[in-house]
Amino acid sequence: MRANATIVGAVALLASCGKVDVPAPVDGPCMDDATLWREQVYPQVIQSVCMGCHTADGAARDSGLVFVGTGYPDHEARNRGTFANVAGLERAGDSIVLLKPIGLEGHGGGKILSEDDASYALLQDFVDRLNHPVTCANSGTTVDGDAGLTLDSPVQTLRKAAVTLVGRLPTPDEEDAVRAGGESALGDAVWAWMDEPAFANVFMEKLNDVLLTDRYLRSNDALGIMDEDRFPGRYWFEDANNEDTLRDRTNDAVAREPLEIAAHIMREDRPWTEILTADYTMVNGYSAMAYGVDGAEPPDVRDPAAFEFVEATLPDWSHAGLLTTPAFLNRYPTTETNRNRHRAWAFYKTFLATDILTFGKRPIDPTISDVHNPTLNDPQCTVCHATMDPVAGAFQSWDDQGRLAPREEGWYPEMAPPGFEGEATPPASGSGQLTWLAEQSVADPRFAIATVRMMLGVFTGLDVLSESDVGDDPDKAQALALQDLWVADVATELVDRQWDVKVAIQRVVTSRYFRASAATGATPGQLLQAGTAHLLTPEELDRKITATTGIPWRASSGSTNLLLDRYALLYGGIDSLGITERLRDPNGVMANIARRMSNEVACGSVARDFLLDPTQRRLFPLVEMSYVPETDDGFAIPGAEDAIRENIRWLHSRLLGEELAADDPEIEATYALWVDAWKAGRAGLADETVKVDLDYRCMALFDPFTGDQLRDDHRIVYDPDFTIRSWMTVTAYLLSDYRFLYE
Amino acid sequence: MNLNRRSFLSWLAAGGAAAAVGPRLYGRANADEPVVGPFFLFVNASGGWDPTMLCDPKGRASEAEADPINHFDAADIEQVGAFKVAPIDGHVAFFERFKSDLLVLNGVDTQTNSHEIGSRFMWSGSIKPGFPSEAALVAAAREPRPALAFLSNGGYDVTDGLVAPTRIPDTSAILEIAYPDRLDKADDRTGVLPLDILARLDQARTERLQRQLDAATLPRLRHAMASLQIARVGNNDLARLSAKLPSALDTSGNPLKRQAQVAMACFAAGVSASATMEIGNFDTHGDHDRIHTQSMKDIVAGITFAMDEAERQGIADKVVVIVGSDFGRTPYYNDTAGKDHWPITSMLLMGPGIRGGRVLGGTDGSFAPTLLDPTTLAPSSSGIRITPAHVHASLRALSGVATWEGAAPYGVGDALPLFT
Repeated sequence: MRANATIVGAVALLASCGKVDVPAPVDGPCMDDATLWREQVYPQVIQSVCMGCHTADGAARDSGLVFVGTGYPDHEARNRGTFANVAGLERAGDSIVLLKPIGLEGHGGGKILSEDDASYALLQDFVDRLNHPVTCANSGTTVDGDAGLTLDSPVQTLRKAAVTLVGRLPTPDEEDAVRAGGESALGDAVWAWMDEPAFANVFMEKLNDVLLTDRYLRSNDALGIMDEDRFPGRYWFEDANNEDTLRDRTNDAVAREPLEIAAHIMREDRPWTEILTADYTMVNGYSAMAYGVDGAEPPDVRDPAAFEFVEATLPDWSHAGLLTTPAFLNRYPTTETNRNRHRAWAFYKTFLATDILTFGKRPIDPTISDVHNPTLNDPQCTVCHATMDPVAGAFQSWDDQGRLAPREEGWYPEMAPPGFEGEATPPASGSGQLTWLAEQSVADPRFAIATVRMMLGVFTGLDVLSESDVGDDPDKAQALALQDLWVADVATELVDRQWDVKVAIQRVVTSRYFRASAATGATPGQLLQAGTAHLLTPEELDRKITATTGIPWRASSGSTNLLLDRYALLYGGIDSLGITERLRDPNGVMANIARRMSNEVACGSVARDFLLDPTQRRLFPLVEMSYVPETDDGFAIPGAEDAIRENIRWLHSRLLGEELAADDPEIEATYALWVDAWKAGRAGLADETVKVDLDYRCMALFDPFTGDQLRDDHRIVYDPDFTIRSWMTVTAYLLSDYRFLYE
Repeated sequence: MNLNRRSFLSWLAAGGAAAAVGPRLYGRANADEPVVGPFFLFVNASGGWDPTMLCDPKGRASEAEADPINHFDAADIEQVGAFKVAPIDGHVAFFERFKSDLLVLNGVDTQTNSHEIGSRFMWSGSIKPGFPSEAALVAAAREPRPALAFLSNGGYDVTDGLVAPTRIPDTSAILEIAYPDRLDKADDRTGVLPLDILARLDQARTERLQRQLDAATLPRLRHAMASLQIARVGNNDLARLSAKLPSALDTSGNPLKRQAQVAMACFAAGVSASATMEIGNFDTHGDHDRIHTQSMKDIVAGITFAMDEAERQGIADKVVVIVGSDFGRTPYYNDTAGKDHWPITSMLLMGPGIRGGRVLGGTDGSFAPTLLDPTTLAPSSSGIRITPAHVHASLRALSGVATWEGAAPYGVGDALPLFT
């Protein structure tokens, strides 16, 4: 397969896996050639000056000096090699790469640098080094991306991965297995979790952060964007019993179609390339009716099987994975004059790790341009349009509303013909041009790179670096180089293992990007992206609350979880429409929501947990509510203090994933908080400024899930020793902790 | 202290923000007092507006004119004070009301036809990626307790880690969020725990986070912990905000009005130093006149509403308003009666420190910019094009950001005497 061979070759060209040549110190007096190229020449000159034109589709595409972007796994080696080859061409002893930028030798772009520019001096230095290589005392040494970093242990990673991937804590058996089996067992556990239904939901949630097709959930929008002529049954439920329920379920099935295709591929270990090339779509019992799939029958709303998605092919429909779903096509809309360019931009950015908009670096000035048809002929425009417009043409059979409506008059003659990367679509492809595009794209080495970058970003919350992020920052340049090597290595494995996307996810959660927790001696470039420090999304925090305390955070039983509804946007979430970027840092509103959460969840969970048999408790298995550390007279009660301390250790472990020794200062600090709260509360009880009975919201009166009233003998209403509220204090303390709010 | 961008971010992660902005109290006795203004309101016409339908109208000589810039007649263009005004309902009233306050910059060159790049340049002053929005810079520089300092309603709200943006799309939950320790938001007797215990709990939280921050060695972890620390400071701000919020938000359908209500409440409560507002429907590649006319009416109505709200809140003399867009639109119509992208655009500004009643810059009949002498700002054939970078440099001088060392890594060049 073409992609595989390219990636393998790329990795072989570069240094050993996960390492880059980095002489230390980078800012020191000696900088070897590789470092100078990576950290200065490429970002400050090549990428920011030359690549406005010198790319495969740029104005200088025929110049012989053509660079590639970071979407290509071997971009550094290729670009450096290309530059060195052309730099060898000389005129009267001067390299043409030094003559052309200052406007000599008929440079098509004219004079773009002055001889006294710092950028020009960099070029001169590097060209000189091609004949006189510079090595430093420590040239040839390498920095491993993981060197100097402390990674979470396999058991610690297990918990973090479980919370992230399946929204629960690891089982004792899973922990035992990883404790015994180490890294290998960790990998096995992660792999097994990806078969769980909970992971499929998380996977779709994460992918939606990129695709944003959930914009059509929970409304009629998804059905409204279906082609009413081709799918006359889209409102099949009208006048039926349970019409509203049927409408909502049908809508959500159509809205979730792109993500269900992705989940199906992942779940069934299909090649991830099917995300673009699948010759089927996914329907459940409800959307099958809307699409008029052969044999579809109105589902029974009580039948859970009706929610199961299965493959389906639509008649007279050229499927191309998620590209041909109404939700995708309408989420990335076009207009008569946009002519699918927005779709082409989204396609490149999402699936080929290429942001076309970063091609055009130079200021453009159409006010002085008299070029006819500038998007085809003006270099200011063709730098982007030469790449974008052929792919836009490949989308031509789908109109502005995402309907299959091949243009009878053909593609616009004034635009570049439909195709991909210089290759035209076959004349006979008809409405299958998008299918052809998909097949071409997944064979491009950038598709595997884009896949790994996507998984790295969504499962760590990391801003995955691109070359346009680097600027003149050498640390970012090094971070990008390390990231590129890691991504290329994972991409190689992804392709080798039949494009099973689980490979990429497993590698992400076992990598430094997910696991680094401390550093001793790592370089600034390494440190830039090490560790997740990921503020949990509203959805993730909601799952973690339930997983750790056993109860969801709701206003009342039966209502929607607060973080999924009332506070979802205020806590930095997205609606996939107007708000599409998650907040990565908390603000004052979010801090207060977290604080209210910690108070209310503590209020709702503590008494209820004490009602359970100790073996069933999630929070307080080692104490009873009658346990106090000392008598009213101030005499220590043997064993009670130890039990309270042990349960505090348990809480640190359960809620925060901290395994602390009994004499750890943090245990002491939490115990001190417990005791202070208890003493203050006991004093309040004595002088009657504090009531014996709990606030009704903190009593254990009702089942938190069903809302059913608990038996009279199975309730907690009073807190005569102030222990319930002391434990509430400690629970709120831990639920609002950095380690609970972040992973 | 001479900071480059990299070292500044490292220093921020090390908890340097509070130390840096702490002394910048802007007339306040201490950091717990509300922000006193000026407040900066950035209004984005998302999609690329057409200034010829607002403050730089051209019109056509007659219906017979081939390829006109506008479909309205030049004779219908109104003159209000210093301003030429496009003949659209509501525009004259708008310029009449603000004719002494408004500074119109015409012929601003965004140097791009890309939404992403244009939006970035317009609101950060940098055509290169990575710079924070001016709104974020102002918030970080002016607000020592930046938990709510930057209110974002979308658009270009990149912060580069300087300050966390706050989104308040709905205010119905603000009261309960403002009082997180009450089980019943409206009843101060329903504390989840007795007050002395809540105070002890707060102390424990603060001390614990500081211990975690002290022990962390990875910059990303330190940044995250410092961000949480900052977000927790001033949690009484929301209580002050809730007292300033209107009982109900606007339901007219003009999104600027709701955004303005929240922004002005945040300003009046002294919890925010800057806010962005955004309204769409300006990217009119088809049916330009019909859609753009309504969009222009909406943005003019939205700005007017915002100033009404500022007056109601008693802060109208403290609000600096900056209005702009991704870029402009072509000086001709395409085949579908639309207008495509064009880098030349206009900006509107008003507020304390900005001398109003003036138009600077201009465009010719082809909608190419007039060159200006950078000293006198008079038209000059050897002059320069005004870009968003010039405007931002001047804004930074006005807001005090220019002298804040935290802004040093984000230089946008020298200020021009645009506002005086």
